[in-house]
Amino acid sequence: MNRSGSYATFYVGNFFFGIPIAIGVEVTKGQEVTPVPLGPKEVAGFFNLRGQIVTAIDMRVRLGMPAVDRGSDALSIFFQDQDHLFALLVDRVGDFTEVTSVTFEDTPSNLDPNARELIVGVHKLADKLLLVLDTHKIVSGIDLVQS
Amino acid sequence: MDNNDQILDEFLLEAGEIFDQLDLDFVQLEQTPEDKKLIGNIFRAMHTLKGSSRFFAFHRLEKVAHAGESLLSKLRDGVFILNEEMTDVLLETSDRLRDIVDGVQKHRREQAGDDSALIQNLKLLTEGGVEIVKAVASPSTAPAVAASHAVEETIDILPAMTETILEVAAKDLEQEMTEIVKDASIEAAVNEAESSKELAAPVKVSVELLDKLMNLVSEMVLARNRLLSFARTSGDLAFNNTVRRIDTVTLELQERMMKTRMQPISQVWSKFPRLVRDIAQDCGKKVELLQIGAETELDRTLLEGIRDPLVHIIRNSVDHGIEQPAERLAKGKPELGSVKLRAFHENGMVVIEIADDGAGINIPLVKQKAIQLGLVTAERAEKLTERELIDFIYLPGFSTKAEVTNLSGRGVGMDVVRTNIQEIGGTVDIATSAQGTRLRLSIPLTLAIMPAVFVRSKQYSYAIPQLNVIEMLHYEPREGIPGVENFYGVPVFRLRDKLIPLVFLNYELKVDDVMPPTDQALNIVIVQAAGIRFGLVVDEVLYMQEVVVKSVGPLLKGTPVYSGSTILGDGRVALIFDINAIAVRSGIIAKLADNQFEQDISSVLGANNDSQQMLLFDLLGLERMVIPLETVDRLEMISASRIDRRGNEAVVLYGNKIMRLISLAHYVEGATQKSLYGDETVPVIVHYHRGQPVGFIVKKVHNIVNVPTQVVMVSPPQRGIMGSVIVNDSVMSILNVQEVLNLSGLGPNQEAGIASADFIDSDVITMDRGDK
Repeated sequence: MNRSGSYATFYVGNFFFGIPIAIGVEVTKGQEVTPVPLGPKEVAGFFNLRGQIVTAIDMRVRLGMPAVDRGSDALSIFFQDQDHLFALLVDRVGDFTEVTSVTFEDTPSNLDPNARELIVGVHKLADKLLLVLDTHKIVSGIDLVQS
Repeated sequence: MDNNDQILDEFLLEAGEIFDQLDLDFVQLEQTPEDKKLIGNIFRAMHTLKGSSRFFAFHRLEKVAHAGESLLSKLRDGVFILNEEMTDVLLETSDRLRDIVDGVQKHRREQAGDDSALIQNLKLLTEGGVEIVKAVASPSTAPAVAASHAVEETIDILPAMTETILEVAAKDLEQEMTEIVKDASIEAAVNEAESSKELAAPVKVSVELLDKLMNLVSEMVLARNRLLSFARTSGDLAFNNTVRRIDTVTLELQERMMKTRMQPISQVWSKFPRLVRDIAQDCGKKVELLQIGAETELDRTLLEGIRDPLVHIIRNSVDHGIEQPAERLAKGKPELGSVKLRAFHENGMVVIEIADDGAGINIPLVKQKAIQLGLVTAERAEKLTERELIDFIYLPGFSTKAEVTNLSGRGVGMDVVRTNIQEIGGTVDIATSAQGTRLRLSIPLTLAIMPAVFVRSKQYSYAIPQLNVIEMLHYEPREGIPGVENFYGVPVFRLRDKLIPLVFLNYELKVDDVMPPTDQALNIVIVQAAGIRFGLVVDEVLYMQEVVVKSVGPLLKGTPVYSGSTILGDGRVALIFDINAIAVRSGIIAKLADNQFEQDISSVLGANNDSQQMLLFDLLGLERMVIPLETVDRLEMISASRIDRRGNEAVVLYGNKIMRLISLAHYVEGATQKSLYGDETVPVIVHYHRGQPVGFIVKKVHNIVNVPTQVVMVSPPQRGIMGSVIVNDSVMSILNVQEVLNLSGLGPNQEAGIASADFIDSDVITMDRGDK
């Protein structure tokens, strides 16, 4: 698999993540999210992107971190999975970053287990590690039935 | 490979359309056997199939189509006139072709099979009109002949071999030649037909593309809404005019877009002429099918949903509704029975009526069966209206146990019909008489857009599908009126003397951790789902609006309380409740089922034989009295100021009748009497005695309870009490209704106390439900 290309990057807690822009990334701000009582805790709610219903996933909750109230300033990174639009609510959005396969490495074994299951590997950048997210796993790993 | 697959898919699609048309054409042809144009159509359809199957090397398909085509060509050329035998064989041909194509669809290639008998029959019919009857009557001879032929061939193999090869080659050549000539003439005919068409051919568009367009249109509607709010505050005339233009165009766009989802109901109906013909022939009846309003349109997803119920209803009508020809003639009905399908729009719904002129539902038989199955007591059955009796046929398995055939067919699966129709938000209604039966299905136009009631829970709005909503009300607690009460752990509320269980939305959604206090004003939406009626307590009832229903995506699969979502005018998303799921989740269904809450047929059906339902009430000084539910017709609150006197009796105007009021305390030992004041309202249990209402004044009415049929007799007997029952470790006294009526001069024999005399001997007796 080709690991080089452009990544949309963002921060959640101390993590620095990237999603290949080929997946169809778009960033927006200021969406009014409608919460889903009784829904999975990772699902922050729904909002409307040009007439499509988007499921918003709170990345902090997904990574097992304490949730923060983002209000309507939440930043969302979009991607599509199983014919449905999803948005990741993140803390801060980074730049689009170009990488080559030279910097790619498999997931280090000492990485936080919550993050480890969601990533396919890391790019060693000059100053930090870019964790490459597997967007499908973000969605499919969510426990649908809440206790 | 991909390319081939695509071509094959196109072929399969085309073949499906051809078969649907063939079914219609054949039945039509039977009625107008000399319609040359129709035969031409059928012939061309067969020919198209044959041509395509040759391309894919589907040999079975080709051979069967070819044999069918040969017979049709004779019909077209007027050599034969179509008769019933030919229709049968041709229909069989069409069925066979469909089977083969179905096999291709499943396995992507033609499945092996033996069509020789069918082909032989077709050939016999093609070759000579006279022997037709014989050939069809004994189709088994055909393979036998073929087999003996094969034996002969093996015996003198060598000399026959060369002969056969020659013969086959010559035949093939001959066939090819005629084929080419035929092809040319058909091609010409087809071209002629097509050039004469004035309308442009319809275009096939994928459903996904339509859905996407639909999405864009709804997004445009939202953008338009925002634009409109700008225009309201703007003084710029040119801008406002432009906005108005956009407004009207958007509206029209939305309407047209909705139309693309609509398809005529004839899509489903087209299979029915064939169905009716086949069933009628099977049971030796003569039935015609009339279709009115086949062009009526409804959403294509709903079309699928009504197909099976309609097939079922029509089958019932022909098989069980329409009488045998002789019987019909005896009744003075025309020999030819009719089933009439009618579709039309009414109040934003599509109504489909299926009417037959058959014998109708045998209501006395339904009643008898219901009593026999223990669904209702004989006494209660007498009081049921025709409509209530008909309701029994919707109960699962109701008529399967009936021995009487006329009834058995009627009811089988009617529960399935109703369930299917209800699933798509529709209703079923039956009217029946000796002149026939009419079923009326009302179905919403579309599920993609539906009216909904918006309610507020905290700061968010949610939509409740309007088809679930019965009424909305604001409840204020007031002195003297019973408010929210507890019924076996379920909060209930009295609505016109019916107990309605309540579900608190905020608590159910876990946005509130505790049940709210019930002594405050409540906003209640009365909804119906999962067979029960309940009140959903919300923070506020907002407004009603048409909503475009959208999916909630894969992550809410484990959260069934939402059936979808929609986008509000301000661009935010609102969730749509699945009221059924909320009812199930709240647990009220289970709790109510345990306690026999509903008094409709379904609960009687599930009722345990060892218990019976009674109404719990209090008298002053004597609490926990019960009265058998069969003797209770209504509950009323009557203001003392309405009570008049007639001689010694207290009476009240009740509807257009005068209701005699009886103060129970007067006739029941142990209860104390008290005078009524003018502004006081009293609960009254209404009992109909020989068609006249009699009201029993009580202190308080509680709820319906299940009591054991084991009655403990009171010794010595007490006036007005029949005995006692033990429920949950407490003793309840059963009111002796007959004795009270006797004592107040309403009994069959005016002597007091006689009715209870039978019971005095034994200490414990078992009350028979059907006894009275």
